[in-house]
Amino acid sequence: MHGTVTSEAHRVLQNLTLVLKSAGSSLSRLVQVHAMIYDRIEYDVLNRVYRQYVPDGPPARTVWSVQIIDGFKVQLDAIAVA
Amino acid sequence: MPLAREIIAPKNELLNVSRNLKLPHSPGIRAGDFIFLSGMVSVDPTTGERSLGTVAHETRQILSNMRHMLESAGSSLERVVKINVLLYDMLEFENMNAVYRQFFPTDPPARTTCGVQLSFGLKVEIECIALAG
Repeated sequence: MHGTVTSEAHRVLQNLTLVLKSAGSSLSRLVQVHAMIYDRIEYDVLNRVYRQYVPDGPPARTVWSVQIIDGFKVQLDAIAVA
Repeated sequence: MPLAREIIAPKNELLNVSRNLKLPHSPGIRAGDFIFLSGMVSVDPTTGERSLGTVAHETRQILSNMRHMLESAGSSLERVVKINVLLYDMLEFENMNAVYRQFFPTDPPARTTCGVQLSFGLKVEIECIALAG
């Protein structure tokens, strides 16, 4: 589902929540996140959504401003403890 | 038995950029036997301010701060297993490498280098995974 950085970040983080939950983990067990956005200028926009999902004591994270495939604006990869 | 998850912070609080700038990440996380550090940019350890300069300068400052960060957590540069280097321009690859070699003279970790957009006019950002303790 394409959209704004805000809408895509919400969708991605909601899906990540589901994936982690189905594997017996959760957002609070995240260790490292690579957050990829299509343009560095949207860094604060990403953060505004991201803060709503990650707990206190958030995971290590690096934001990569890169070209993302298929016209998407946000892509995440994540490592969590089980 | 779930793996332990613990937040890592530098002993020098001026280098705790995410806390000082209220960003939504931790400096690092220890998970079991591994330490995962967030991407680090060049910061002056005596002021906590960003320290912009050449690729050589920024690489040296970041790796020096990374050493402090890892040693604060009981690890070291020698125990790094994977590094990701983000460069503002891949044309500067060799300028980064020249300094990088001084920090990893023998048996360097696995590494990937990418050319990406960076903020605030910074030229280098580096993150790593290391063995704990």
